[in-house]
Amino acid sequence: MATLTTVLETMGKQTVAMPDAEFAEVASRYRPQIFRFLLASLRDPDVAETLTQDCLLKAYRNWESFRGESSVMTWLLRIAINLQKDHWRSRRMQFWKQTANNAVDAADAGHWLPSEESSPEQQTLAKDQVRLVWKAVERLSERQRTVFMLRHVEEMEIHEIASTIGLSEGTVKAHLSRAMVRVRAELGGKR
Amino acid sequence: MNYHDKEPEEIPVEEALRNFRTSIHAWSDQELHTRPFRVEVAKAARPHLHWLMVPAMGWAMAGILAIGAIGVPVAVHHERQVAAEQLAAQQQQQRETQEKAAQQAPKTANNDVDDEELLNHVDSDIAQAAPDAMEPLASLMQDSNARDTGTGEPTTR
Repeated sequence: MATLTTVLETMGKQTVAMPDAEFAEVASRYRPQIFRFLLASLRDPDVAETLTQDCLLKAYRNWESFRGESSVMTWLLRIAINLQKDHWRSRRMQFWKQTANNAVDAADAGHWLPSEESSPEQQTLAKDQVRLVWKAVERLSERQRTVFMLRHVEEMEIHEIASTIGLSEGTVKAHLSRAMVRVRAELGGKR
Repeated sequence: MNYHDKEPEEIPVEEALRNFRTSIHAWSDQELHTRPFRVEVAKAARPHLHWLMVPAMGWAMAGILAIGAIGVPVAVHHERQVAAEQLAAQQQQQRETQEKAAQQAPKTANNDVDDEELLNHVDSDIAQAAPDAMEPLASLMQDSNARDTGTGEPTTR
């Protein structure tokens, strides 16, 4: 994290109250999760990396506004979700159509599976399942996809998701339920 | 989640979701491994608009438009009002001047009357009949005048 501190020092951020060392710790701790969420949502590693950096920079600049009412992770994910929305909005088109050339195809996104503990048959089955889930996720609305990723990739509780997105728990459950209907339909239809 | 709590048809879904999660984690870890954390200095140092600035600029623009929409007509109205006041003041001044002139006019007329009376008096004095001693000469002058004019009427005197 010396790199981060050095870079932040070159930014001339003398007005920020947060010490660089403290922020470096926050960044190193939460960066993987933010990147993973953005990668799962966007399927584009380059954009996910850019938005992760933007997220951390924004958090650094606005650290004073963080009041500790939620966890740091919830706060950072909220920033990441807003950045992701801005990114989609800036394209002025539905993201999945617009970035089809840059994003990893849903069929290829299931290749990353640890292969140590399973047979080739199980690997093939697992990849097929992952491909089908991606296919269902691709058809979800932006909000359903966000809720689905937070629940099933980040393994967050319903109340945490509600707090992160700024929705009621009931609404989160409704979005999640609709998303699961699609996933089940996709898995059931191909089983 | 415990598989034993799930119905049989839920197990493949849970398994698929678990594989999906594992897949994304593995993909993310691999990507992060090849991407060392580094903030782009040029991008970070670039002056950027604070999130409050964008709506603030919108409000500022709306304010300018509102001032323009209200201020210009008010200014024009004020200008016209000032011009009308100046015109009224000029008219008032003219009226006062005319009234003063009207007040001075009778005095001048009286002066004219006095002069006329004086002239009439002078005329009457000048036109006084000739003294008796001079009457013959006066009649002679009348006769000669009549001859010159051709009337030829003899003087009765």
